[in-house]
Amino acid sequence: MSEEALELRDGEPVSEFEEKNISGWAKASLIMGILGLTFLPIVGGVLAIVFARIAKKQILHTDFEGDGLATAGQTLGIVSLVLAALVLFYFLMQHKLKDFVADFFNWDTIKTAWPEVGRAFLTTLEVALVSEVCILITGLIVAMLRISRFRTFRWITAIYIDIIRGLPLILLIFIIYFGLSYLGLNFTRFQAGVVSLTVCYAAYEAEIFRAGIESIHKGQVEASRSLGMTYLQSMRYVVLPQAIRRVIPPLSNEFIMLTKDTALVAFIGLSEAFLVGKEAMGRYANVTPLVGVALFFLLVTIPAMQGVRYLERRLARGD
Amino acid sequence: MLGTSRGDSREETDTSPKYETIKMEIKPGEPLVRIEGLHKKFGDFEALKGINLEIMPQQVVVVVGPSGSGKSTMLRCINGLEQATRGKIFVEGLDVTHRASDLNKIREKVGMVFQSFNLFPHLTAIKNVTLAPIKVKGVSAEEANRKALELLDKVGLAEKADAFPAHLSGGQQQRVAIARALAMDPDVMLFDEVTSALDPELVSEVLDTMKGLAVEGMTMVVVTHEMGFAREVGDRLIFMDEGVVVEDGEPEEVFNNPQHPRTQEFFSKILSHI
Repeated sequence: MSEEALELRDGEPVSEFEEKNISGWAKASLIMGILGLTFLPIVGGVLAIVFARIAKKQILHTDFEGDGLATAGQTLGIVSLVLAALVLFYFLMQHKLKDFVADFFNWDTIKTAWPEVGRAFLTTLEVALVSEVCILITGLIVAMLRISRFRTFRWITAIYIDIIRGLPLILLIFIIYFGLSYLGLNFTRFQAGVVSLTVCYAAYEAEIFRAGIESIHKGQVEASRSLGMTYLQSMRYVVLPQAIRRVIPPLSNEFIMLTKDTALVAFIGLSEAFLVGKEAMGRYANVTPLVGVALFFLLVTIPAMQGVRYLERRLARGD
Repeated sequence: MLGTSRGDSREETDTSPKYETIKMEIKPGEPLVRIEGLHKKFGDFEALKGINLEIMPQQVVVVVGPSGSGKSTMLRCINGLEQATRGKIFVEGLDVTHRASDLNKIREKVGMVFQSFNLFPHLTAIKNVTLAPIKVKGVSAEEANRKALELLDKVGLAEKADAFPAHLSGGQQQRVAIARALAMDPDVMLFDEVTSALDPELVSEVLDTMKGLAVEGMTMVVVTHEMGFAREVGDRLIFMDEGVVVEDGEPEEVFNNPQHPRTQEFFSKILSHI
């Protein structure tokens, strides 16, 4: 039956049975693209792209078809050019690349130095985590005193915050570490590092906490106080849970900064990742150990940043 | 089972609601709230210029007046949210304005509902209601929950117990706020323009809840612009203007036959729209 139907139409071809009029330029482009990837590197690729442009123009302005072919040819052309460029770059740079690898990713050094800096990085993390706990507690207390009813507390904390925020961290670490030892307080380097970082970072985090607390509408305090809660109850059960939720993203950022700044306690001789890496760099006469330190930091900081972003999204949804 | 002494005493008093702790005896004929010569200044602005008022138990006092007349300020002075500049306020015989008196104890007896609801957004409806009884009165969690469900049911929101405030309409939030205030078993409830922030179609559900409370005999001080409510539910209508009580009487009387020219002017402005 279908054959009959075909025969009926034979005399007067309908468009769908018409042979497609495919642009020769598109065909040529595809062929050139394939050649460009195989026998005719650069030239084939360039020709493939040029032919594809011509084909596309032709298809646009006449009733030729084959747009897909032209696109394929063009793509192959681009890929072949990029590959050619990479191969060229590799041959040109092989010499320098070797030097680069030998300095930054020296396999012998990696094998021995990276485990070493990895262990030291655990110390870094330990300093950061212990400090962070101390900082959160101190920062919250400072923030509460900063907004206290008593002017003396407000003044003392305001002065503390402004002095700390006005000084370079490295200077404070030195002053606190050496100041403590001149005062006859025998802190270990670890303890001194934690104390320095706490003193410094608590000032910043106190301001974050304060901003969070002050961002809570005063109606919340009024409502809780009118239910008979004391000031501290109202803070603990109503204001702080909301304020802390709001400041989790900035606090997490502070934590990431703290993790990075932990490297500064190398300057008071604590064997954390940076110091160990620096020493190893001297021993191995290449920078690979420090690259390892960098990788260890990124291993922690990048997921932490992702975590902050996730938290921000979740909190935004919660509100 | 060795409970604390408080736990034991609670087990003994089975019948009455279990958090009736220090319900103060009010002698018949004694006012629940007494305001004497109350003045309040904000900087140079004198918001209240000598208020004298006695509110009897079970009375529903509706306070009306133009904005800026000091209605809300007076209400906020009653539970000590604003400190009186001069004068005295007694709630159940305890002086709110006295430095030595325990404001927190007084506030347990004075429930307050705000124009802007002020629900705790980080807590579900039921947690909003149970927080103060648990933390302030030391009621057990189960007991507080049971009572909270009862109260939420009373305001028609039992099924919303686990919803967060953000997922409730304004009217629902305000009803949760009323349940929250009731959970402390207050002897007097203060309502500060509680329907002013609501969409018009949500006003009646809140007013109905308040009407229910009035019927049950709750002592209420209601600052409002809802004249229908004042007329229907109020036992007493107070008209305030520029920090003084201008008129004080039966709602019907004040509405129909205002004595003072300022009252007449105010009502003529409002009632012309009804």
